[in-house]
Amino acid sequence: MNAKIKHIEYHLPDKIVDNEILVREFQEWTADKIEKKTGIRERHIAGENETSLDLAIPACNKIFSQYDKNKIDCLIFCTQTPDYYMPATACVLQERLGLGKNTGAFDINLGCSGFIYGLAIAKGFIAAGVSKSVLLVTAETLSKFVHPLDKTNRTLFGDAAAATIIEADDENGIFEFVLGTDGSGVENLLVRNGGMRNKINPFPEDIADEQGNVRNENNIYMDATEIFNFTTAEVPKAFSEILNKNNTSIDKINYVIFHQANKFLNDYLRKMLGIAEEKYYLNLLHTGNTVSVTIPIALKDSLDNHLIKHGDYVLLLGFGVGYSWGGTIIRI
Amino acid sequence: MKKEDFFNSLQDVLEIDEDIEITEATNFKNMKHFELDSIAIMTLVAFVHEKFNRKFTAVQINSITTVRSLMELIGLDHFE
Repeated sequence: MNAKIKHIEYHLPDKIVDNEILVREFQEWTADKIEKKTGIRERHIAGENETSLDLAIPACNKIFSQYDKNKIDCLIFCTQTPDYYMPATACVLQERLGLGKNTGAFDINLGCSGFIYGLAIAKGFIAAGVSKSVLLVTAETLSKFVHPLDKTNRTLFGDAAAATIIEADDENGIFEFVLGTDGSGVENLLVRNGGMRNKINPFPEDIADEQGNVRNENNIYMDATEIFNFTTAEVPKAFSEILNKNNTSIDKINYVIFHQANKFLNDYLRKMLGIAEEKYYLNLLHTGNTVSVTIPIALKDSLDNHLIKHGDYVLLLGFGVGYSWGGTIIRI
Repeated sequence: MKKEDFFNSLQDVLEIDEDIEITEATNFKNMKHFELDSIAIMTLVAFVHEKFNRKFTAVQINSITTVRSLMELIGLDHFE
């Protein structure tokens, strides 16, 4: 059986941190400069007690206003900011959404490649006859890992959740995948403390880096230079592999949606790959980098704004923490 | 690349004030109205990758002080 994306919705937390607020705290930047370089004007930030699960529920309820939730037989929850170590947030969400007990539910722990992996699993489950209707939720509250004085990461990251229905269909709407991993990049993007390897330090030492970003080992650390090196090495290869594996060429692709990291990097990748500006999604203006949620947000916005339409072929590619990457082509 | 063109390109991509003259001795860490912050570093890394197909590590980036030190990292044989 084939699989196809049927619905996408997303939800953003109410609290907004715009560039003007950041500039008041980090006076060496201007709001215009932040927007010009990162493409971000504002980002939505989860409240202190607002979790990935809390963001996921409204996104799912938007889906249920147009889709019978009783049809769902599998729930995949992708996050790196789960509500609990155990159980999986998917199990909590099954009950909160009122999904049937015949629903398979589990979490996957991936960042910016997570939506693609979720699609791959959903397609596999449907092809194998395990499921007929998969609810894929990607939800992140990465802001909770960012030190208040880490201006770089506070600028880039926003919180969000998205819900996507992938359903068995006569028509094929999700084609071949390319997935990849390079665990040598672990040290360049991580939250060191908080797991079983290094427990949360109640009295961490704050350290400022060369650029003045302050963080401690309970916080997210990102080496932007190494992430740039990884991205510019692997994304072009993955892009070509996706086209080759699907026996197609960029001319036959109607639209390209990459994970939205930041405007500068995404624009650089577009130029490297020679993708026409008009068929390349680039929009972080109101959301920032929402990790595994950027691709479904981009898909939803592209549909709503008629950038893509029924029958279009869209190339998707996510890349980031791990390092991990994945891409595919879908038909709308 | 001619050194003069390199200096002009640096001034342009890093948006350094036009009244500052860029020379080999110019120190990135002691420049009026300019900070080698994360945005500038990303810009610089991309510029060097695009023009010289050269990638830096974070340690190398943090070692940059003067324009000359940047040129040495790229390789002085790239300049005339």
